[in-house]
Amino acid sequence: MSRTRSSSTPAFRRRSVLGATVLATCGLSACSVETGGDAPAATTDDADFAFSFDPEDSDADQLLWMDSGDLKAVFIGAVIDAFGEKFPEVTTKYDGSGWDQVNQVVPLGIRNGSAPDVFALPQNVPAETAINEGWVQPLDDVLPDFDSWKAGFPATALINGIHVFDGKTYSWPLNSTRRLDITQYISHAAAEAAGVSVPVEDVSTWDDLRSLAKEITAAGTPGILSTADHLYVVIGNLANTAGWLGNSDGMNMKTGKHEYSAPEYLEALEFVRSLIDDGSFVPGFLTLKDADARAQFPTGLAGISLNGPWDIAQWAQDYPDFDYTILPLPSPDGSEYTIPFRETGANMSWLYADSPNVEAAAAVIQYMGSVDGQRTMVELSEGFLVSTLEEANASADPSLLNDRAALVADLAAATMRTCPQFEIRNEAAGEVTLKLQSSDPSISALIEGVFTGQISDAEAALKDLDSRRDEEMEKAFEEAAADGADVDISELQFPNWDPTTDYTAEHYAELESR
Amino acid sequence: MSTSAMAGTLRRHRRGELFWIYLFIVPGLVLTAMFVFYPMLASWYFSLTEWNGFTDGKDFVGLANYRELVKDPLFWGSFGRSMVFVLIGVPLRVGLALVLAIVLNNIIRGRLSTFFRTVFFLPVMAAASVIGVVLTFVLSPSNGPVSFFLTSTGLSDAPVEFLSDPTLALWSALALHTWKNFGMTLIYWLAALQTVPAEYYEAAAMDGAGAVQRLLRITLPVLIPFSVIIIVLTANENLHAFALIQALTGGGPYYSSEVVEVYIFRTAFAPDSAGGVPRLGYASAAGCFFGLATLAIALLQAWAITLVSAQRKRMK
Repeated sequence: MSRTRSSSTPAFRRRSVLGATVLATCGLSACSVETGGDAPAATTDDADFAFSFDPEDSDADQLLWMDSGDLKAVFIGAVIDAFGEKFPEVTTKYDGSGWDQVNQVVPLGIRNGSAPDVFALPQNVPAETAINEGWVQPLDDVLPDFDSWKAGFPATALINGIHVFDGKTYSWPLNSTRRLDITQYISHAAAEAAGVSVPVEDVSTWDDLRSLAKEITAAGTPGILSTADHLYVVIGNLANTAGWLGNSDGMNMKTGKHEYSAPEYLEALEFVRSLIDDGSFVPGFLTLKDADARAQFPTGLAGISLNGPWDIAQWAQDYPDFDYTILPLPSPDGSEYTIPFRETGANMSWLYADSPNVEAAAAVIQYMGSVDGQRTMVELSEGFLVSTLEEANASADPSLLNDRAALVADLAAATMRTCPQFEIRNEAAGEVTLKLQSSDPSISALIEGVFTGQISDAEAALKDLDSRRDEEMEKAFEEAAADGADVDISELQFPNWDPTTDYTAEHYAELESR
Repeated sequence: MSTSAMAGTLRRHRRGELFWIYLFIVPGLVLTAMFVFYPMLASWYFSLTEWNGFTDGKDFVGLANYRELVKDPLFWGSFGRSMVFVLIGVPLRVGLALVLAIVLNNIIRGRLSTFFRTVFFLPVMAAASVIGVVLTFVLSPSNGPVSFFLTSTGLSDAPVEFLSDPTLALWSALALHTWKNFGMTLIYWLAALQTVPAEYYEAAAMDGAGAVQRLLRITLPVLIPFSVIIIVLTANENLHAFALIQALTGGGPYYSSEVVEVYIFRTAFAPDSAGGVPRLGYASAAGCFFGLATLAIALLQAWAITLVSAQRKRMK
């Protein structure tokens, strides 16, 4: 997007407000963005906040934005504040109070006509529902210079059934999902107490991890910290290191079948079971909450935490002196691996269908989705939020990025590869999603059952899960097709998928030309 | 004034009185209709539909949700655990509270009695979810004070996983629920004990009855009608343990502490990693079925009240 300003695109100096807005946003949203430590303060950059908005031509008098807050609040809050300061005739408010608030306030607001101008969808409301019920409106007709704005995204970033419905673009990915869900965070205090030199140089095999966990446990601190909230993700990622091709839903996109009972998955399950049998896991991990685990790890709850990079920002804020090594997950024999992931984009926001302040909301959305806006997001988040626009990531000022955020971003780039997605292949995918029912016990529950001994035959239970999930999928396809959707379950198969490379628009085109 | 005129005045007065009575009932009736009767009837209707809770479209499926429900082992597991809360939790709480109420009423008196009543009633005042969150820290096997006490005193070799051991989770939740609501049952019994006429005890003392005889021959017989009511109220409380269990264990590990309310919540609003959309229609069927079961228990207890009352009349 051009950074040239016309009379209708006034500029606002970002440099002058950056530090203040970061702090103000953090305070307002109780978010965790101060990274402290050796992270440089995000204070300098030459770019400006540029909004295509002319108050003379608009009836907009306010801009309310609501989402779950967290890390993105540092960017969204800053942009909203800057907009409000530049256009004082528009009252602005950013509410990043968390999912509970979104889940309650948005549906109520829709019902009584007072929903925020831009909001995150409540967690249990599929996008198809919000569109069918008339909650949200497409961006195509309201965003200034929409076509060039849309063209700025990679070809596979705006996905049918996720962002695009019936050819209209309703939402967009604020940031990329190319972010490792699980990495090793090794506490230096715990490692040193076990006689291990820090920073820890190499934990590249499963045996390395098991030995280190045993040593740390023997020295008096539980070796491994992981919670039931995401243990299934840990096992899924470990299985990926052993060559498992399942995605976050357990589906192998080559075959279009769920493969939780694949040998690699069972191998990973057994490996984690061996860690538990060693006594290396934190006692009570099955009822420990993620948030509590994150808060207690720096205080010595365990030696090695298996979790995502979102922990780093909070540790930096709450425990700036806490020192640790970041390493990728080990593989069974130390060989390289790739982790398939669905690039659906994260932190999507939606424009309220009855918003009387569309021009103001559209101007802000346009800026946020531009290269300038995305680069600002990367810089303000100190690199913890990665853009789907490579240009934005590449042009971000390195001096504004947190070293650890850069490291985990590099690890993600090195090991994560986009896998094929049915949603990109067929725009009617959303109709299937709406028909897909949950299947209990879930993978998360089954893993609990295996580790507590309530399930004695893990393989049989996982085979049953695969079978149930496949049946539910077939049923959803049949029901969607019966309702008129042009879908076929064979479209879940992507025989041209090479898990070692990103599955790109060319691959989709190649598949269709076969 | 003639008799007929007086009668007319009385009728008018009575009509006026009735008008005001009904007028003052209206707000309560409207609120009850909105927040009790309507949701109840709506649940019955929803239970006959396949509905995710947020779309306009509800597919009428008749009794299909109920047919699926009666074949669902996870539902029956949660139903059984709710029954454990009633069949074991209620006698435990009612019995212990009765003993303590008698002690506080007859043995410990004055300020000490008031102090103990307050101490036992305090947990009732606290929000169940807050208590649940705090207790997860207190019972944490990795750094909780209970675990530290048990291991440091040698009472246990290893940290006790009160909430994450499937053989302990339900019983821990039941014990904590009993403790949290114990004060309420205690207050019921203390109120009931106030109804025992002091003359009975005086007469019994003059006849040479001892403490045990006074308890068995006077106190307990007088309390029997109250006991039925107290059991009904306590059973009702024990069937509504959602907030505490959700905060303590979320129904885990692997459903080992999942009671019916948690099952309904999970099915209606939180499909978790199972994927798919919520199933409000199916969850409503579970709620209606459970409501009927609760009603059956209440009717059983009402029948017991009738029996006891009839027995007492015969004794008189």
